[in-house]
Amino acid sequence: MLRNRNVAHDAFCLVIIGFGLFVIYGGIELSIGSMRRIGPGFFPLGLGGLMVLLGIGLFFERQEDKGEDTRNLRGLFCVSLALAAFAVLLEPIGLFPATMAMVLLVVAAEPDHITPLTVAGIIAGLWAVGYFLFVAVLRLPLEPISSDIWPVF
Amino acid sequence: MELLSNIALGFETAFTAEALFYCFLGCCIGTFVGALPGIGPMVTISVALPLTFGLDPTVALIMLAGIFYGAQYGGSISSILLNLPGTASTAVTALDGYPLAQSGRAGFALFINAVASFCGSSISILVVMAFAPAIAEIALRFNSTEYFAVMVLGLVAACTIGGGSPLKSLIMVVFGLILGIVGMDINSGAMRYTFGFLELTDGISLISVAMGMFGVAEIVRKMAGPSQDAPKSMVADLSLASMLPSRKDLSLLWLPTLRGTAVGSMIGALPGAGPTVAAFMAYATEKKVARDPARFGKGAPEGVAAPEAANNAAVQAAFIPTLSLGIPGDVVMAILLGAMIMHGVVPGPQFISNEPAMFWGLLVSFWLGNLILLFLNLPLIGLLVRIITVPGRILHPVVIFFICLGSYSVANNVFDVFVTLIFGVLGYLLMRRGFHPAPVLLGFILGPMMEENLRRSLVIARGDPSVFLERPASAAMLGLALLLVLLPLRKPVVRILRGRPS
Repeated sequence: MLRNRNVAHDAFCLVIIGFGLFVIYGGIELSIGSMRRIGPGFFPLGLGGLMVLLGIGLFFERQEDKGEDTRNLRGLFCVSLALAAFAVLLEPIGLFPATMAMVLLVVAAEPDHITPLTVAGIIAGLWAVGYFLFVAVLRLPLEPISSDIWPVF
Repeated sequence: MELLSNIALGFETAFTAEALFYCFLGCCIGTFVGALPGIGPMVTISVALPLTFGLDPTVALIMLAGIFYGAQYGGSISSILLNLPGTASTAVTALDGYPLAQSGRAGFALFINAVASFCGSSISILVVMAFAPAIAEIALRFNSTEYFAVMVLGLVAACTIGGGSPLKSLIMVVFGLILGIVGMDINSGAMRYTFGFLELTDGISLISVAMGMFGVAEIVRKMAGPSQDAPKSMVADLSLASMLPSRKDLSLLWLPTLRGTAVGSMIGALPGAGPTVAAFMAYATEKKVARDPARFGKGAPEGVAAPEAANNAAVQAAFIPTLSLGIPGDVVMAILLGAMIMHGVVPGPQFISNEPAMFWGLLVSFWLGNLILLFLNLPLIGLLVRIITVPGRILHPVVIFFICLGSYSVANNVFDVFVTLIFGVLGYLLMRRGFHPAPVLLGFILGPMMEENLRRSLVIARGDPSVFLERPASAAMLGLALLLVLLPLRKPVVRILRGRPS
């Protein structure tokens, strides 16, 4: 039984148990209170304990081999970067450049070929949606291009 | 008589120009995203939710709910025409719908789908009207002890009934409950697990959790999928003449539709089961009662009518626990409940008596929405097919764009975009390990309510935890929850005791 153990699965169980312990620690720090008047740490403490128990239980659960889809680290990396780039650029530089950076990074995550013209089309379309729907109609406090870099006279 | 005056009140609320417009809008959006494989109603509702902040709460919910049931209609269109289920709950429809379409009866299959869906929804709405107020009435007698027990039971049931590993689902629920703690404690003012981020004072944004774990994670998973090319749509005769069923077809189909509706209304009201399970069960039932089960999978019209009636009935019935108890049975309901809270509506047993116009208005709008969908669907199919065939490489950046701006618009703060990013990565990694993110959201929504009711129960009982076992209703519900947890453990425990893997 032990020979067939899946290392990744065991490591994951440890992560869950560790997370539970961390939540318990946070709960103790917050003061548990008394049973009559429970403090802010009481509920987290209980949940952390439950998490530890469930994590231990997971050790004993048999894992079915799924192996249906492949790992997509490139996709995960590029899409994460796309969201991060959007968040970083949005306020200092403006909605349009942030959108452009985001689209280029998402497109980089795709395994398929995509023509530059299509990419340009997507960006232009999203600029229009972003400006008319989110800025003009919904009044998000965003500038298409920040006036700090493109001063309006 | 009271029911009639309530329904009249509902019509009054739902028949304003604003409500009708947003109902129509929600249904249209729902149909489109439902038909698009890859974007579910979940992500769409999360994106649309911050956009409804300026609206009247009733109107906002009418629109958000319209997206949900509209997606069921849309999803079956791609199932039938492309053998590509737009949403999971319509996957069964493809089993017989696609062969029907291949044999040149696409129009007929779509017609059955629309009519069976409409029947399923309409009957199920009546069921909601009958049961939700009655359940709420009983629940009004609950105090915090029973309410805590109901929530425990609801969460456990959602984990163990739906299929998949119950242990993994329980871990996800507890994870969601923990996420729900983050922020300022309303009783003591203590900051909990905020790590010094002021942006987390009000807690983690529901929208970020939902869009990260469902939207971002799903797109990353889809990108690795085998083919990114647009599915080839078949040239189908979609004229009205091709759609109308013969008298013989009709006499063959009304019973399966009613059976599907019955299965759907029952399953839908249970926590955790939802429209997907309902559709599968309805299909299995039809196969069992059919005189010639071999026809199924080769284009049997009952194989479209029953699951479609069931999944639409289930969608409506899911509103029973949500509106009468404030306990969502599945993820989409969790998001809608979150929407109610964000709009300042207090969910729970008192909802129906406190907000009768909203409750009855919502139900009547569901029925109007289904009527709109019935007529909207058939003429729009040609346009829909063209949209479904948009390839993923164009769709993905568009969806990510809406996710980014959707998270930003909750508080006009880029912090939430980063939170979405973190939950996207987490959601993808968890999915890879076989954990489904749906229970996280259930726990996340119910967490704060559970803690509050636990605290109140203990205050009332002067700190004696045995109160949960002394009150009979609470003891029964907790016992049932324990039973649900222990049942799936039976087999592995026996195996471990015998000391060898079977």
